[in-house]
Amino acid sequence: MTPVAAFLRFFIAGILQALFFQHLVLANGWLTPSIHVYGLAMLPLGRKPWVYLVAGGVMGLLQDFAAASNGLYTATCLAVGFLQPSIGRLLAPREGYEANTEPTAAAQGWTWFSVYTLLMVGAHNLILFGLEAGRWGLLLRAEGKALTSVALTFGLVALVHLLFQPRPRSR
Amino acid sequence: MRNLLLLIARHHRLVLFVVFEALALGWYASANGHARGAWIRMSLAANGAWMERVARVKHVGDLATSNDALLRENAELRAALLARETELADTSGWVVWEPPPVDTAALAAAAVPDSGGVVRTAVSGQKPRGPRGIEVPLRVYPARVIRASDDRSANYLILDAGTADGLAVGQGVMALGAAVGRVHEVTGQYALVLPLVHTGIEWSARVGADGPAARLVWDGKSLGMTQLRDVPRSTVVAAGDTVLATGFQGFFPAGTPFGTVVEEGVDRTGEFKVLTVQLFADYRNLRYVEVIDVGDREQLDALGRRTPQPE
Repeated sequence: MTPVAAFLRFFIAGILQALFFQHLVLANGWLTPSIHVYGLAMLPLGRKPWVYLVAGGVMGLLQDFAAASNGLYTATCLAVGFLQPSIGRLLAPREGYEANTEPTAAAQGWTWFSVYTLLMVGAHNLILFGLEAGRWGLLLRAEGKALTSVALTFGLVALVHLLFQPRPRSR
Repeated sequence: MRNLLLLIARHHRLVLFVVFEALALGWYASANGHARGAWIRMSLAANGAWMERVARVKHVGDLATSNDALLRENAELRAALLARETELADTSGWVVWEPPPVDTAALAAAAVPDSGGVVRTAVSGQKPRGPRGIEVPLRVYPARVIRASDDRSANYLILDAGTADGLAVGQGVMALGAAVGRVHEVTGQYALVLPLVHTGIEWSARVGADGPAARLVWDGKSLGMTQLRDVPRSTVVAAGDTVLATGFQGFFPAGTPFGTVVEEGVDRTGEFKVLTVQLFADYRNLRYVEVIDVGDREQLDALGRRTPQPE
């Protein structure tokens, strides 16, 4: 995957969330999609850590602008960008990743892809909903919503990935 | 110093993150859950048209065309009714009618000078109009909700009306005669409204028309339920009593209904009652609202600001 393709995927995921998915809040907030995390998760592995941090900041600003919120998404996506290299390292093979390794199901397998995406979306939702709750009394309920929303987002991400992922070359 | 620089260079990723995250959290915290400022005005101006389109699509499912027309008509009728009621209730500029003297010339001729040598005749005629005349001090603007959140602790509504339509920060928002929220940020075409179901805001309310003033707050748990706190234990309350705005905050006219009491409890100190109030406003089905501009709000706010603060 070229950097241009990664950038396009990042940008399209952000725009889709800003224009469509942020309006698609179901079950009184218990199912809230965060498809923009897919754009962050699909950035090539093995890059410099600051790349993920800056990408997170840019994605957060875009979502804050679309959702008319003050810094909530920026703070969340920055934290996800900070955690992303650690999540990648957690799932890395013994020899590590090569630069520009694709974090796709085709390249890493569905198990790896599922765990990686769930960790990314989980971190995003737990931080976002926790910050938004704003008080300890509401935290438990907010994190419950975060976890149910992880399931929805993962379902959407898996569907998109299944439809648009590059096919593995046949031998 | 050199060691510090080396330390920063070694942990530059962490330092970069801490700086950016602190900035973002500071930005979020500075708004205190109330989105406002130039960023929000830019966002509303840029996204408002798209939000309108999305709202239109969302409303297609509930017979949008006919329903919207009926709701708009309802909003306009209510606005006219409210304005009329206020006009009738406002006696400050009413003409006071007194019967004119039968024959003023004869009376003047018959008048006897008093001890000071001044002739006093009966004064009659019309009382001059007050400074407000019979001008309606309450203005009502209908608006459409184009975006609403009901799943957060800091919920909000976005209306398709702004300063160009007469809206201003601090105006109250009502739906079907009940309080909904207040205008918090406004652009030329759009307005951001903070509803009663926002954990960061308190509303001045009382039980019935004569109850003591208390704080209406939302705990963020159930969308239709809020709590009326700091109600003295001596207050007699029954389930079904109406909770009304005091009008002290200047958002709503006094007596604007918030909801009804459904349950009664006592706070942690045991000194005050906590009443659970079911709101009249149905936040999941808000389509049209009326924005209320209580007259003289700016002057009253200015006076309030002049009040000396304790040192």
